[in-house]
Amino acid sequence: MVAPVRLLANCVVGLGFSAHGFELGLEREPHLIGCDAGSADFGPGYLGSGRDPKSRISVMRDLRLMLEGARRLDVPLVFGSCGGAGAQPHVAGYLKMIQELAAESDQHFRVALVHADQPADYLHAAVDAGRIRPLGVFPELSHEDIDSSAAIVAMMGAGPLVAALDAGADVVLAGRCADPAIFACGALRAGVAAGPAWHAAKSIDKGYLATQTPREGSPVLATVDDDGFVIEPMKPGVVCTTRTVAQVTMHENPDPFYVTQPTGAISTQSAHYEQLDGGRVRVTGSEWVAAERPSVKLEGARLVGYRSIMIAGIRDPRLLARLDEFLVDYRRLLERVAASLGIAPERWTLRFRSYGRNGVMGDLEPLIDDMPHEIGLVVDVVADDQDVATALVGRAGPTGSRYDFTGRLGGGGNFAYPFSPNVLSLGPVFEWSAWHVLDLDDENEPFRVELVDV
Amino acid sequence: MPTLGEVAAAVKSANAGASMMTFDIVFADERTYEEMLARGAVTAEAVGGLYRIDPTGIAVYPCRPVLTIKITIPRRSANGGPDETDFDGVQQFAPLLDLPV
Repeated sequence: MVAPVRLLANCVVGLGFSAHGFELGLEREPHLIGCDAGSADFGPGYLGSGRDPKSRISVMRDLRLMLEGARRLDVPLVFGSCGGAGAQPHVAGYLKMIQELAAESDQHFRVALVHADQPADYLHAAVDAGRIRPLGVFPELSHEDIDSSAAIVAMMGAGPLVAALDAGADVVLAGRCADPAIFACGALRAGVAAGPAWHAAKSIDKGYLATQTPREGSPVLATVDDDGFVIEPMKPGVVCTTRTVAQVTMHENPDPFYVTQPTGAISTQSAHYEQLDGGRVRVTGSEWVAAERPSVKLEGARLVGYRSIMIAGIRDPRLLARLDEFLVDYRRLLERVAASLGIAPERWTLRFRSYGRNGVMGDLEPLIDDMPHEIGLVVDVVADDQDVATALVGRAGPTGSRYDFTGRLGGGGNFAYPFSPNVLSLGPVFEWSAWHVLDLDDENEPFRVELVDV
Repeated sequence: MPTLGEVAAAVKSANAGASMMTFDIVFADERTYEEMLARGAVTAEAVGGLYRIDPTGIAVYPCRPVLTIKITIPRRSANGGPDETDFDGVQQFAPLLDLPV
């Protein structure tokens, strides 16, 4: 029987956490501190562009506190999916921030970067070998999908993180990473049985979501051994319940009882949750179903164009009464403008987003016939060139605002603009080019550990 | 007839990967949960009707330990692409509130 392993978790780097709660967590002498630093929920834009959805100011605050605490205790600090999407520019950005923080406090330690970027040649060979399968409702991955991608990353499990820790890393900056792996690596490396190790890790990988009061909640501590684990909140007054802990495994997961990982699946079918004092929850009966063959998820982003938008408020009840007709005419008028500018139809697409009516649900809005008293119209142009998108949105303002219709009384203009300038160039737009599974013989194969002593 | 919004303690939507979306309908107590299951109020057919999607692509999971009925549906388009209206999928639960149960 191994000695219990303590894992201290915050929710997401850049979302903030209780500094007091974190300090109380450090007093419990965790064996590993970890935090998720990314998600695919933000869409392919961050993978494609190399940008971080979180601001440097917010990220630096969280990194500073966690780095200081981990170095004081001299325990490993693990960040997964660094920089939002976990590709090379994101991991490099995290390394730069860690180096700045190390220099600030004159500290020296070993950083392991775990790269998740996948070279095109490797993926072409995997396609030819029939080792790549689509996930969800995506089609088969083609060679063209690979070549047209701005970036493709694989999502690592615990194996590459264990390798980084074995190499003596004090801080692990992992590229795209399965959230539970951030914590499971610590428990598995200590020899804890896979069932409790993975389920405990999954229960804390969203930090405060394991508590009753997510606004107050992070950090949380998992104490895990071969028999099971205990989840407890670190901030006084915060409570975990059997229900809040059980719900974490369902979060953003298509199946409530199986959470698929690269080397198997966490099964909570027979898990038992018991309320303890102090807002703690004990979990037993967690199982690990080992996969016949390891596999990792691939995520790729492809550039589809450049976006410019304009936000226009419409309050005129007579125009709102004929909004559908207006939008049909408006589209036709903008097509004429594009033709006059020599912009071919295949170079741009136009979307109208009518906030107040169907901006949130699009065509699926059941209340499409309930016209509100005002509409926030977003004119959204995606073109193959930023200047083309900006030119068309620039012309969309006067074209729509001057649109004349029977019964029009508001002669000054149809559009109320909140912002000056009112044409906003939003930059490159991406779509997922890869959302697939890559079958492997060794779960570590697609990942590369690079050591940097700072 | 009451609506789901009146009998549920929570109705949530979120992405489950880029091509799926998942709804968690949570009930406050065992009695309500069992009653909703027994009545067969939340089915793939009912959800398919609301969201105008083929019920065969919809999975419904009763999760007794957390008094939750979980529904997973395909997304209209992969999250965050040019046609996106809600890249986290967090506001797509709203029509479920009006489902008669």
